[in-house]
Amino acid sequence: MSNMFERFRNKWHQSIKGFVTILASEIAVPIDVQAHYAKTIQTHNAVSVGASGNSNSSYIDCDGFDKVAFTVLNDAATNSSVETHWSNDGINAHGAETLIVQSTSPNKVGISDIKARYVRVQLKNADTVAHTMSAWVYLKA
Amino acid sequence: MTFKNPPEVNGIMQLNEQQILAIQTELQQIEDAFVPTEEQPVCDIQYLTATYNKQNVGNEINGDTMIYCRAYGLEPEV
Repeated sequence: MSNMFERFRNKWHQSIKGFVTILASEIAVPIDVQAHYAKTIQTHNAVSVGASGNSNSSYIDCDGFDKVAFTVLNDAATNSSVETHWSNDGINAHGAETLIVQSTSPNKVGISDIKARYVRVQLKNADTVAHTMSAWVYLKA
Repeated sequence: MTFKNPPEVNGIMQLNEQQILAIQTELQQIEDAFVPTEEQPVCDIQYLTATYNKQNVGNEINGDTMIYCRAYGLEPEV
């Protein structure tokens, strides 16, 4: 009984006097961020985008991610651009923006903050013949 | 706006066996003739499909169909 009392008194004294024991394992050591979680999704697998046409991907769930990057391959150096469509339900588009403006570069890249729960990629072919295009998105947390 | 079908979007096109075998033969010819370059070091899906499509304007395929045609008739790996 006296042992219990001793322990309680010591504990009480420690808290009163501000004595705190910090073990090494309890210390939050500042460290560099070793890695970010990222996820790669191919939205277009070498699809044939018609002359002056476009091709939409399916909606991708961005929940838990901060940014999304895009890369696009065109089979030739012809005019094309990329739009992103943002949605809160994964069905209807509630916001659209031109992420990559029209250019003849066959390899395009862009990045955006997450603006809604779901996003889809629209590849736009501005040439007078069809082109084969691939696209990927990279979700970053 | 109507929904698009393959090859304008992902997915496998509806083809008969004759069409699949014709595509398969042409894909094999493209692969055999491939020479690696600095810009195109490997014969990947984009290259195979794009080269096939350039040779078959009006009868394009997409990457999913290309993979299906290449694997058509092959024994599944155990």
